[in-house]
Amino acid sequence: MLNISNLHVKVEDKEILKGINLKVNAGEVHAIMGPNGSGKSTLSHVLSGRSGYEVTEGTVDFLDNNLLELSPEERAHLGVFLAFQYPVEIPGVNNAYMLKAALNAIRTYRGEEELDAMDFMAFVKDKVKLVQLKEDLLSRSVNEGFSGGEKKRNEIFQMAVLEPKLAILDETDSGLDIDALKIVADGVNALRSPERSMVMITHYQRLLDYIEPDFVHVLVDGKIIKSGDKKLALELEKRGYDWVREEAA
Amino acid sequence: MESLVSKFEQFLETEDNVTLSNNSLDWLTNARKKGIAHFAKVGLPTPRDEHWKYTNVAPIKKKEFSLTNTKEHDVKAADLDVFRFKNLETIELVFINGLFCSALSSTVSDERGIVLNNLSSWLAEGHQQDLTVDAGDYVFASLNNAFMSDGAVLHVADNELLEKPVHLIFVATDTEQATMTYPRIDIRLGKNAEAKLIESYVSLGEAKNLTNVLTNIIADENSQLEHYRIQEESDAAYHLANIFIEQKKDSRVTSHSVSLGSAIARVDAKVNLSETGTENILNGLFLGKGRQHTDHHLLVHHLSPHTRSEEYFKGILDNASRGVFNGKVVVHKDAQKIEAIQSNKNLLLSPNAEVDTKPELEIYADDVKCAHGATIGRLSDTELFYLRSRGISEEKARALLTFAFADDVVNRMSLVPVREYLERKLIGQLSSSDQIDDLKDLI
Repeated sequence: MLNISNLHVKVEDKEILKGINLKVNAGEVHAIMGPNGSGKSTLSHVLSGRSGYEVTEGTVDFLDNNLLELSPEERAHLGVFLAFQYPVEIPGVNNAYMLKAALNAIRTYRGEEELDAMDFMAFVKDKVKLVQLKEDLLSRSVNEGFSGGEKKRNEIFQMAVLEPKLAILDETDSGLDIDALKIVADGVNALRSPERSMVMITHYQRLLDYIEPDFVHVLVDGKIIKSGDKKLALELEKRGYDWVREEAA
Repeated sequence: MESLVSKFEQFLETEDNVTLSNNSLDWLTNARKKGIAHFAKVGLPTPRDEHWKYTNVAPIKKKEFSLTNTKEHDVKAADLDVFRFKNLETIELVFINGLFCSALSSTVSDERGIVLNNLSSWLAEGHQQDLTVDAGDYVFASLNNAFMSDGAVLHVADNELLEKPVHLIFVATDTEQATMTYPRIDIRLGKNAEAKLIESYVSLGEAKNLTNVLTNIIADENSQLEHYRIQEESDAAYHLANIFIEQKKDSRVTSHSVSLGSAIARVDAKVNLSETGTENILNGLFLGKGRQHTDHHLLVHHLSPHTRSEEYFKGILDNASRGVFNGKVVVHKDAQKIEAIQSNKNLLLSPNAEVDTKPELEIYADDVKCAHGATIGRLSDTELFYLRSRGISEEKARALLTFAFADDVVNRMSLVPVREYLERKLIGQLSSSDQIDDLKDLI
């Protein structure tokens, strides 16, 4: 599904990603762990098409498309979804209408009929329950005045509605207390399917207790220096990153 | 415009509807003479004048506008449907190229003491009431005094409430010779009286007219007025407006100003909070595109303790348009315990658009609560990216964010049908036609 090959990325002349190789097959859940400043968020931004990043080398193939050539909305149409580390507050833009516009753009791309307001509300009703999002948050401005936990739940709710093929979860656990984390993790787990891949970017092993990954990769200084299964995450939790660095050196 | 002084003598001699038949009312003749004298002395403003630093009226100065208006026009009631508010019953007065159109208008004169009429008919009825307005330094107000022509009178007696909103529609058509009109609107609310009034300035075709309107509002004790002005004249038109508001004890006046049209539009609002307990809210939105120039100058005098004022304006400037905002609040000596809030936020949609904003405070009392702020920004990249990452096209994301920015001002209006009218206008202006249907879901 996703094939990242020798990806080099610069931000303002500073090389952040220094040759990333990663292959994600349909249905797999990959966790990317690493210390601060290792390039985790850069990777998620480059995959979702945020501007300000210069790809100097390498390719990203997504379902036989050259992902790097596409606009953020085209990537979304193909099925890429980024759950933001810091979901953006957009005053004045209604949450439900934003999502309806997004869903209809994606449905149009897929050749499906657009949903009208009634059908849309019926469609989202179950999805709201999935992450225990209060229904009145739907009629509020996007993320405005939401608590930290509500914002993260809103991201997963959007993911449930847009049904992506590849979900990139950027530090989805950050700022969540344990109860909120459980709700978010339950939501994500409910969305796991053989057709849907996930890339989880995280600092802490804690999230992986609740969402079990198939693979764990260690990103240090712009490179994946070690890959393994979920046992690797536990080891990182115990021993930190230095031993991996030494091993790789 | 340079020949206005010489035109005045002839104007004074003419007796027709435009000149309000120049009936021999002393106050009117005096107002006219005083007005032209002020203009003869100071002339049209130039950018050297502090209050006109950013607004150059040179294009107006060079042009010739005709005062003589022909009554002939082919405007039908249905032509005005696009300017009406759906689901809002109003009492409508229509003026076409400055002349009152009785066939398209209705008036009110009832035993309760509510008078709504066009100015020329009201004067013809023999009312002696002095409607003089002191123009002060406002030279376009002086010109309005000099050439004052038809407009509207809304007088509501003590304790009376006019339920239906009044809608004044000033229509300009594409006449062979560019016309200038000087409408006067006189609003007086008695004690505990209430009314709502909407002024619309619209064009049919590419009208190249000049409007110089003066709205005078006197709100007596505990009265309430909700006032709207929606200016959507053609991009070839010139629009100059003065709003003078005098508020007595415990009165509340809210005045909304939406500026969408005209090549050059300038609105001057002057508010006197003369007695305690008064509240004034000036709420506004200006949109510029092409080479449009739009300017709001507000001046609020807190003359008494326990008064409150709010200025809330937003500007959206696209292409090579320019916006100007100057909001000044003067807190006079002994006007203690007042509250004044000023805010002007601007959104620039193009690198060639420009805005000059200046909230000003002059405080001569020591126990006051004042807040002011101005911002100039572009659409947020993070917000745009967030919407696009969800699948929304860049164009639509821009339209959505711009609409949201503007809608904040519109949502502060109490008449929902007016809000909906303006939201449709905004969507029409902000997005290409194929996006309109989608965006309509927003409202």
